Amino acid sequence: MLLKTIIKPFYRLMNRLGYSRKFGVIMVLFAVPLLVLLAQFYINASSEIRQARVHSEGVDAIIRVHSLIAQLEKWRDITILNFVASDTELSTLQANATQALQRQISETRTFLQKTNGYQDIRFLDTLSEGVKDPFIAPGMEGITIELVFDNVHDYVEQAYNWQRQLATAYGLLGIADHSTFGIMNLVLYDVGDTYEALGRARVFGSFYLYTGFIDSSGTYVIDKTFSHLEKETEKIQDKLVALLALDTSQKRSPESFLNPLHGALEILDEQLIQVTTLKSPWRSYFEKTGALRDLARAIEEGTLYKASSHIRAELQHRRQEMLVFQLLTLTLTLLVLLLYTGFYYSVKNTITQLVNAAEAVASGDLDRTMRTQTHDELSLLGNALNNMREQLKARQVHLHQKSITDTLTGLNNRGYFDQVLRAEINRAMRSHHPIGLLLIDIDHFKSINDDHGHQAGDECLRYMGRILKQVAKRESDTVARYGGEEFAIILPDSSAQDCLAVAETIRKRVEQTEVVHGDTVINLTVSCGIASQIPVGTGAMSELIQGADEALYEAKRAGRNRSVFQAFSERTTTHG
Amino acid sequence: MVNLPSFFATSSKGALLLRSVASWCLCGLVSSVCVVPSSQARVSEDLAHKLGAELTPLGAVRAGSEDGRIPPWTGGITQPPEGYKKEDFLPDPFEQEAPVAVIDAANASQYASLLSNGHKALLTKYPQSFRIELFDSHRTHAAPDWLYENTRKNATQTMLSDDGSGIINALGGVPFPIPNNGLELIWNHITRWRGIWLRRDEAEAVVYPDGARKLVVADLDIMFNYYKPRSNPNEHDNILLYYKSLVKSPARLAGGAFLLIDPINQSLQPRQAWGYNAGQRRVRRLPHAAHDSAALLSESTRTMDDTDMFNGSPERFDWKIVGKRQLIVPYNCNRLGLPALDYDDILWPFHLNPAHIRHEVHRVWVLEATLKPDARHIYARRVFYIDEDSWAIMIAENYDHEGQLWRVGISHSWAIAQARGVMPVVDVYHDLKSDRYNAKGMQNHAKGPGIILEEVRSAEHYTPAALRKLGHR
Repeated sequence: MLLKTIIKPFYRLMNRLGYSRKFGVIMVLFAVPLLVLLAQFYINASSEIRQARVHSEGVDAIIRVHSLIAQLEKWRDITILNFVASDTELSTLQANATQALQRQISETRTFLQKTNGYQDIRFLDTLSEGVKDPFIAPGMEGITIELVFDNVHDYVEQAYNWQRQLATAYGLLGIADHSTFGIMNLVLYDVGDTYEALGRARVFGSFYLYTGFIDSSGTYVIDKTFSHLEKETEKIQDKLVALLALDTSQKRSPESFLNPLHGALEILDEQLIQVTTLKSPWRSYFEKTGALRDLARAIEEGTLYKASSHIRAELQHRRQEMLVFQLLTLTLTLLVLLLYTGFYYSVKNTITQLVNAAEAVASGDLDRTMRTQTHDELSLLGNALNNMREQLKARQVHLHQKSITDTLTGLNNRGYFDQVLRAEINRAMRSHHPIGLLLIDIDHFKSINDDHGHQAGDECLRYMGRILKQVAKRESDTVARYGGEEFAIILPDSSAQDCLAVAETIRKRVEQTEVVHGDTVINLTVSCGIASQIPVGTGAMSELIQGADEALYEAKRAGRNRSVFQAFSERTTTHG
Repeated sequence: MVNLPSFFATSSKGALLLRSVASWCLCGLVSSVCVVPSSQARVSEDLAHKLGAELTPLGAVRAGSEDGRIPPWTGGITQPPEGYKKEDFLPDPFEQEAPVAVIDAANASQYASLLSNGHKALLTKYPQSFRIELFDSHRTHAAPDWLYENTRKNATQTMLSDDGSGIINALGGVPFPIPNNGLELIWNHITRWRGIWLRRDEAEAVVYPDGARKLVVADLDIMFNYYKPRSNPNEHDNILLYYKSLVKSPARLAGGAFLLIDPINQSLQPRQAWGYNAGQRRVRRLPHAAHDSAALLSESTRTMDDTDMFNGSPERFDWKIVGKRQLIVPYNCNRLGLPALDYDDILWPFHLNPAHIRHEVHRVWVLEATLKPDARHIYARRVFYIDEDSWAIMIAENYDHEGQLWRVGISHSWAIAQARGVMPVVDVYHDLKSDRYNAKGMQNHAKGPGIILEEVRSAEHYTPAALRKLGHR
């Protein structure tokens, strides 16, 4: 009930609409959500691709910044040493390092500008400006090498911070792939501390080797530096083991990255701790630890490249998926469109056919079969309409038959006779064939009625009808009750002899048989007027009838029970 | 980079108690005393009576030397010359004098008995350029009368703290005018008179063998809280001095500010130091601004306790008075501080230009410091030559753990009469291993001679917050 109430307005709406509009409405109602869904899906897929592309760009940017930071660290070390030590070669090295750094900065800038412009690269300007005249140390008594390191290292810290900002902007920290996420975290958050510890070991070791002695605070610094690096090495080892555990594809050990760190620890221990006097040249220490750091950096960079290619592969995969999806969507959409069009036309054409057929029936054409080409509910409607048509047609035939038939004798009535005679005369005129007309009258029918009653008369008439139908049995022959006890037979394509033969057959058959009505037996005879001619002109019909009528009169006059042929030139009389 | 300053002022009205008393016996007595436990009874009244008599009010031998090289003390320079304005640098009072001798590598042996090992080493190491121009001696040191009086009181009441890293019952004066041991002697140096409030610009340079140098200029602000007038000798908040400096140039170092608060008794509260780190814009505690921590900006040519020849806690060394002797030391080097001189002229490779350095023969205490067995320091042994009049270390010899003379500190003093006293104009630290030296305290390019005042400045000026403000400027 409720359902009905709900459906009603829609039902009414549908009732109001034509089929094309109904289709329109349904198409729209189906298509809009479908389109929205498809669009949603498409947007999602595109955004995933865009994200993957951004990730790919991001990793490339991180690789850039990574090498920038590596250069920054080199610059930091040399800058600190140049500050605390006086050595012309160091000044040159520092100038070169600054130059290389500036170059790297501008390359990084160019790279980032080339990719999407949503990264904040102002930091590079700040950095470029900063390293031109770096803040190394405040001029103050009691400043320590550690403070100097902290000050210069601040540039590196800033770079790491910026790298993290970049990574966030590129969405690298939301990357779903565990291995890549792990690498990113390691690079962005963990290795910085390791390299800082390594940098401290490098700078402080070189500094004290350069100075040639370790003061009390230096003892503390070196000890702290060693412990720091040792601790950071252990920390990064744990992280690397955890990270490599995620990557089941390759069996790798963290040793390649840890070896340089262990190497640095060893050198620091060997040259600054396990000695009574500092004898190792600071420069070789500086270079060795630098080489170790570069090695670690290279390994780390390799990992980054791996992450990069991984993401690139992912992007490629996503793109292929997208292509397949696009093709599929296109095909399906076309298919749906075609199917809907087919559906529409199928319904529309069927309805048109049914309408046309119904209109034909309405206009009286009951012969055309109502058939639909579909196999659906409309075809049932078509079949029903067709049945209806056939019923109508049967009824019409029946009524027609009734309208041209004399009810007593079952012969055609006078109206039909006139109609057929006109048509046959016309046909005979066209074909120049002769047409015959017999007029047959029961002799003394009045006395039969008078003697035996009207019912006996009627029986005689019925008897006559049977005889006439039996004799004039050609398809083209038309037998009619001409009026009262008078009958007419139209014989197309019949010569005078043919007509005479038919008339004589009838006369003889009537003469030879009896009509039995109850206890009464009646002997009948008939007179027959015959006319046959090839009709010409408009008066042909009345001429023919008149001819036959005159012949019949002649037969009556001549004594009845005979056949008289009326010819326009000759008269033939036959009698039995 | 900036000195823990050593200045002097001279009592303008210092009475000239000219009484030649042979005090060598005293020297002998003192020199036989090694490091002794603290808290012992101070010198007797009898001995203390000698102050102002055969001893100067600050405890030096008033009399000249028998050989006549050293004149008797006659009260020092207490008045600036006629027409002197306080914005001016003090002219060289002995401008007209000519050297009585020039000592170089060739004739050094003749003066062997008057030369420190440090000077000898410089003569040997740099025979081509290094020489000593020797002039007649003038005992110019003086101090305000109240300082003399306080010194007299201190003589009988001031004591070392239990571990010798502090002094007790000292008024603003020389704590131990008649020192019994090495610790007392070094405390006389540590607490010596340089005015109460001192402010001046001074430059520092590290000079490389090729003559290249790095120059740093700083604004120096020191308040010697120890000399704050007080009736109770221990009412000093355990603060010896406030030391504040702000670097003005070069630009890459400018804005760095430093604050140091030294205690009178190190065992109660060790030295505290803060630095304003311009890059971080914050004030940090500096944990290592003491002892042998290398002074980084002097390229480690000196340690933190090298500054001022020696400063800070004496706790890491055993101190021993070796004796008193006549020694050629830079003295009355007013010329070295005059604005007429250019740094190119002063700062020669290996050492200062000898032509600008006046040397005189003075009586000095010889103080030896030996690293305690359980202590750590880059110097194993140090020998200090302390001027008997000003109690300032004139020459410091620092030996490494192999026994080699490593660094020689030489303090060049000038007589500044607008204050009263002798105070260092340039301190030089020679690193004999690296042939570099560090010259500190140069004022030649300063706008003026700075101010040295006998007035107390509020401690508010010497807090980390004040440092931050200074650094922001």
